[in-house]
Amino acid sequence: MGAGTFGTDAYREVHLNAGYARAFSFRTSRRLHAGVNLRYYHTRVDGYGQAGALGVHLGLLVEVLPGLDFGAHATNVNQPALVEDDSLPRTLAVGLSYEAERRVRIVADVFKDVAFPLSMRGGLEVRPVEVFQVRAGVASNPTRFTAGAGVSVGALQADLAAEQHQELGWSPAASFGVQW
Amino acid sequence: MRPVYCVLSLVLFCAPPIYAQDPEPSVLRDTVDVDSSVEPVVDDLEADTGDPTQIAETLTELAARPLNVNTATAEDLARIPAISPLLARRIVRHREVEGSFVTLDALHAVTGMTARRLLRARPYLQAPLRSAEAGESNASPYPPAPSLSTVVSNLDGAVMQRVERRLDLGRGYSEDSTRTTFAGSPVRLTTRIKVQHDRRVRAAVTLDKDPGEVFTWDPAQRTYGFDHVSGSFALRDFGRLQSLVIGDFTAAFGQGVALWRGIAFGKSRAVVGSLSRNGPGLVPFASTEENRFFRGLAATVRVTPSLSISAFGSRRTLDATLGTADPEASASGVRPAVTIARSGLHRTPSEIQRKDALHETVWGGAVRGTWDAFRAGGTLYRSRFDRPIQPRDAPYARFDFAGDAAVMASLFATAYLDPFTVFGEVGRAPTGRYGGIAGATLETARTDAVLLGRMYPRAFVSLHGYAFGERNGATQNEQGLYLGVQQQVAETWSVAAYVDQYRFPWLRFGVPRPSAGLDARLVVEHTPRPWVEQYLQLRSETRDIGADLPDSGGRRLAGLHPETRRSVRWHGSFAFSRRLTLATRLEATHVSTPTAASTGLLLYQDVRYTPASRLQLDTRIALFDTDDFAARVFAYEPDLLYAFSVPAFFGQGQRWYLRARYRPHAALTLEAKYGGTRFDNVTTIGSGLNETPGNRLREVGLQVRWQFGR
Repeated sequence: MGAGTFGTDAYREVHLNAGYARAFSFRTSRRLHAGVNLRYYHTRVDGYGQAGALGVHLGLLVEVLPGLDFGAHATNVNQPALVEDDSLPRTLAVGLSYEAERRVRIVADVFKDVAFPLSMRGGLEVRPVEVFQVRAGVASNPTRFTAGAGVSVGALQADLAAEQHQELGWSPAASFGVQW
Repeated sequence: MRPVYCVLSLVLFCAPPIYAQDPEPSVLRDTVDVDSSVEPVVDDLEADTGDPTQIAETLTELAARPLNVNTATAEDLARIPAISPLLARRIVRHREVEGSFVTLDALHAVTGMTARRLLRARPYLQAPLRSAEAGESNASPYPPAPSLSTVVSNLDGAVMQRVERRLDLGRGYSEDSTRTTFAGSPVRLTTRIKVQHDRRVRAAVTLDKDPGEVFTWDPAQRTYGFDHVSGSFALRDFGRLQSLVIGDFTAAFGQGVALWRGIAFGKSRAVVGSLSRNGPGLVPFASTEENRFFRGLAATVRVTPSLSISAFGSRRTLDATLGTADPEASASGVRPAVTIARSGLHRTPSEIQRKDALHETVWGGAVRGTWDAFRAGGTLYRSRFDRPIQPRDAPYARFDFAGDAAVMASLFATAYLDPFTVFGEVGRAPTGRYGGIAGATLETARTDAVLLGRMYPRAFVSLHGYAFGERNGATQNEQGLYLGVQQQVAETWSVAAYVDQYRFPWLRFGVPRPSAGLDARLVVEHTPRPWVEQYLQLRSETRDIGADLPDSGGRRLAGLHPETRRSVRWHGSFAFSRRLTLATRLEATHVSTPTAASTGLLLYQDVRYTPASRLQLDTRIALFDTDDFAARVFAYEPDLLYAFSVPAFFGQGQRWYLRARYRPHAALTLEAKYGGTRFDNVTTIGSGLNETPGNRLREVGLQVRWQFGR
């Protein structure tokens, strides 16, 4: 479940999220995680009215070989649009995650937005101690560097991240999660 | 923790992949289906090369009745895509010396039968132990004819109906009296009925109405409801009678220089593949393809156990555009045929007008003999048209077939000198020119290689040939040399590559000079586990294309410039379990000429999910992004059974489909497919009669198949 908002009184975007994921085994000893996320987009512009649309995101994660995970994520697969024929960003990302060492994880993926060139992304997560993670990453098209850190205690997870873009500078982000 | 992982993965890597997963052969068979065999062969086909429908049909039929590895002949085994004629001979020799194969896994003992090849061949094979009946020694060297009561009481068959329709229609379907439109509805209807007894007696008919064609009863237009009707009745292995076909059939002999109607494989990811061919002879035909078959009577008789004679007669119509009658050439005023149309579409007044405008009568035959490790034969046919064919008066068409009669003959031979196979065919064209193909393959336990040379002179007109070439089809105006090698580097790694250099000694349509090209491909396959597979493919093809080039005086001349197409593809597939299979592909292409360059990209994710044994779901999300049509990307797509698609994507957009296959009863299969492509930044799609307003192309298909008698 989630919610987000962006803008001022004259221009306001609101996102509402509801997601569900679970693991499947299909009578094997392996596990596959699949999830669906519904996101409601609402935008209001003073003097122009308002519009809303519901987007469906799908994702899956599976262990291909010991230590090697494969993931795929597609957004807005139902092609929702706020205005006719101008659909919300549709993307597809596929990637691999490899546990190089017990405390080091390397991730790489390709990310394609229908309307933009393919972006390749790579990153590294290091856990100096079990509860604390440090992350760094780089992405192409446009070139961006990211850095972040996270703390997980039991079911609680808190993360901080920042992205550096040549023109846009630094943009920070934070998240907090509870797993059950 | 880390060392443990390494040791664990080493152990798993070293284990023989097949045994590691499933000793039970039938378990794997459900997860491997025809799509995986068709895909590597046709993945890079362009729409106008050959007929993939027939490949799908042949393989589906083969999978429905797996060959008994303990009784099948080498010729039959070689019909399986993963098994070469030489490997098929080895299998037969192995079972003669060592006895029957108890399980399919026992095939590993045959030289050259790698784990991965067996995995591919598995859906088409079974290994039941010889039954008492089959083991009974038969005094006659010819298969005994079954009695009529045996045939009648053991008939099985299938009835299939398919309906497909585009949801977003092109201009051709609009109500517009001022311009040309399509005569019929956008619905495609296909009906197939098949009744057979154990490959030996078979009757089949296929009825097909393409989108835009009219569904009407009009004997004057030779249209009886469906636009295309094809069918045949055939017998096989009745004593000395090897095959008899009444109705439609295909004929394929030798390497296809003179006669090859029917399916043929060209250059593909299967680098060594089935380039050394072994013409299957006369094969009954009943398919939606509208050109590549004969219609009449055909039979092959075994004169001795090692020598067979085939003969056939065919009379059928072809679609042709007629020119104006030349009063000097013919007093009767017969209009010559200018071009023979191969599309099989009869939607617009001009397409309907050229329907069946030309009659062709063909008489032909072949003699084939097998002497231990040597096979040889010859074929001859005479073709006669009811009106002369007079190609356009254009330089590129100067050596095209002209006249109303043609006689063509060829000789072919194959020698199996294990581990080598040497093969070739030389033909004499109606123009008196000689042309042909010759090659050799090497097949050892880990290395496969092929060297293949072809020489089809510019005046070498082969009306019914379909031999190997760059333009898989026209066996004319081409010389080339192909070298391919496939090496099993390790148990889980294989590297394959080919280089094909070719030259067209005369002009071609759109290419106003003699031209040349070079095609190269490298494929690295990695199979860490039987259920995890990935490959990386690099391709580069440079060829001359027509271009207006300024000369030193600034005038524009019709010339050539090279076009280079490079592509890189990564494809991975992962069978999580029998219930779920994932596949991912990323492909990038770059096309450049001296004046322009463009790039293209394709990324897709496939999921095949079998929630219950009766239900199978296939879905794909594909994103494509190409600068223009030149940089288009192709991707094979599973379709309704027997249907087939390798769509080309260009522009910027997204493709999505869902196919569902449901078997409520063992005899009944229901299939449905919905697919949609959405293009960004466009207001219309396509051109001419296919110009479609909007930015979406969606299609839906439904199919019902009922099998009986099994």
